[in-house]
Amino acid sequence: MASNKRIMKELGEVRTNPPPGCNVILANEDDMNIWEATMDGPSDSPYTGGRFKIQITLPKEYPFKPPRVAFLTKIYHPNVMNDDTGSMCLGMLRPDEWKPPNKIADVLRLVRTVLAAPQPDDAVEQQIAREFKDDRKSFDKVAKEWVVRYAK
Amino acid sequence: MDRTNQQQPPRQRDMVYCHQCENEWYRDEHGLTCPECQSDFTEIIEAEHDPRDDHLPDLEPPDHDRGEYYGTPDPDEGDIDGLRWQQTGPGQVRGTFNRTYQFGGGQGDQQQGQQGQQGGGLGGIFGGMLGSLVQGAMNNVAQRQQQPGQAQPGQEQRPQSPEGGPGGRAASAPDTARAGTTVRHYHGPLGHMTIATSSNVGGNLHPRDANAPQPFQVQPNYIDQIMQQMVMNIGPGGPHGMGGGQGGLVFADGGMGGGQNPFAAGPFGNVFSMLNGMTGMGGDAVFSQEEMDRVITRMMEENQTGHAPGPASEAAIRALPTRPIEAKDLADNGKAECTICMDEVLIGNSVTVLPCSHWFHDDCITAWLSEHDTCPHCRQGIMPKDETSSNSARQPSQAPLNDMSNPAQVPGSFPGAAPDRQETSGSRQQPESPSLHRRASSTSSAGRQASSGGRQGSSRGGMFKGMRDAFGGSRNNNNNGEGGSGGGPGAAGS
Repeated sequence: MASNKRIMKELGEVRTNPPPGCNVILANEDDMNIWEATMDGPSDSPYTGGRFKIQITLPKEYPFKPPRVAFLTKIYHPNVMNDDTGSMCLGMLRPDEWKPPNKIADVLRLVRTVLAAPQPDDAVEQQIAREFKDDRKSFDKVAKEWVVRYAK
Repeated sequence: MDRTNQQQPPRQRDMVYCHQCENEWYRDEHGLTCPECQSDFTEIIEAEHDPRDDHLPDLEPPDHDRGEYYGTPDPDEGDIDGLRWQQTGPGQVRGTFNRTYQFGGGQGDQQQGQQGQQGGGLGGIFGGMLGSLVQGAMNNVAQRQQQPGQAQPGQEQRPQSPEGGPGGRAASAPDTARAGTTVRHYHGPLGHMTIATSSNVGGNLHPRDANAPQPFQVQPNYIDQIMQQMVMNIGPGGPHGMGGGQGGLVFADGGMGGGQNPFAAGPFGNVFSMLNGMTGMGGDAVFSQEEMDRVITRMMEENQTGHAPGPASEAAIRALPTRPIEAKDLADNGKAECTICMDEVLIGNSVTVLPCSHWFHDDCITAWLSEHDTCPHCRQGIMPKDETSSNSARQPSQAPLNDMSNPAQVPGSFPGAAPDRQETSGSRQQPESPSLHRRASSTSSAGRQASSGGRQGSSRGGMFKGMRDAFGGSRNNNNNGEGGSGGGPGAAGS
């Protein structure tokens, strides 16, 4: 299927020319549809120094359906589910926002952008979002603690 | 009860009834045209035929522990208020009454003169139901008294209404569903009396007919059951037959299906039960905010088609023109690719062109359009806007559909500018930065400026705008290395 070809192509591109701070491998060489990215925390964020594992699941309808992004490394962030799924909500990943020309590299760039600039108004973790908005210091502190605890 | 002795013959004046607004008035005062809405659709109320029958109110299911009525056991008597009488003929008396029904509270707090404050004002079946539901949830006494319209009140000789006077009836007809009519006949010294009771539940969405009573239906006593029954009546498959397959998603289940206390799950438990029933889910319950968020997120994810356009019609897809790739379609690096499959296309390869002039492999775009009527780049649809039934595809020269950059459609941007469509069908395809969720930007020069100049043309904001903005700098990722189509008019057709 065309989608496999595209995935191969994208994978090749993203490996030879990865987005800044990112590195992508296949979680399992037999499965093209599950990518594993490691992403360095953006330097201008509390996540700096952390290294986060992110799983990107490409549906078999890819690129017609959006990929799913989940943090395997725990992260204190308003847009990342603080549970065992670690799934991340991104606008471009919503089925009605997704467009086939989007690529995984774009997704990764966006993930990193959102790491640096959380979007509390579109949060999946309301409490963290509130803290981010109301008490940035405390948010930064916890986020850093979590980096030390989980992302080193 | 002594109320039965208050029967008086009504004044012998012609009453006129307006079918339009349910107003009623005396003919000798206002004539045959409705003084409220000026409608001619009016009718003189006659004893044999009372048009208001069609608008008879909802009455409630009986509680079987009431006192006696007129020597005849009448389970309804206790919550009858405003019994009204009308002489319908020699030796014939017609009695109509209101009943008060309370949702989930104590009994007996009746307030007169409240009819018409719910249902009629809210409008619509759900409005009426929800209105009373919420009212009940607020622990107010949900009033279910309705002006029966049938009769002149015994004491006042006038329809009872907050406004007073015949006109007050306008707002009193409930919009709720009706079903389950019971008719009781009584014989007494004053003549023959028929009392018809209709319950306000069920999906019989036609007015009850007092002259041809409908069969008795089970009359639920609790709002849970009412909602359930309502849903069952609406949906062919019943509450658990609809939208199946989502299994396991449920809001707090407010005792639905057997719960005795309608408010077991808090004041709005019933609302959730209702939603629950509507979405056809059943089984689990969630108790925390997080769980609820998750459930909602999941539901949103599973029902994402909400905002997105539906599929394009097969005919419209088939009608899309094709053309061979030309040298000008190639990017600066001398290559071009279909942005869906990322396969390279060579000069002479045939591609399918959308009305927005973006092109793709035929197979690729067909697969996409069969699920979304949007251009993968600019989201412009291919279906004709006005004549969705006609299956012809839009021509590239046609005005764009859903063009967010079109000044005519974007509030505040170039209101006076006519859509100045540029014919770009022959021009190089312009891949947009994939992360920019811009609308069609190649359709009008004004819109182009709007979208290239920081995307003010976009009416969307929030996170996505932030993301788009955040991604503004990452265009080098474009397939053809062509810096995106947001580069303004100059980037258009060279």
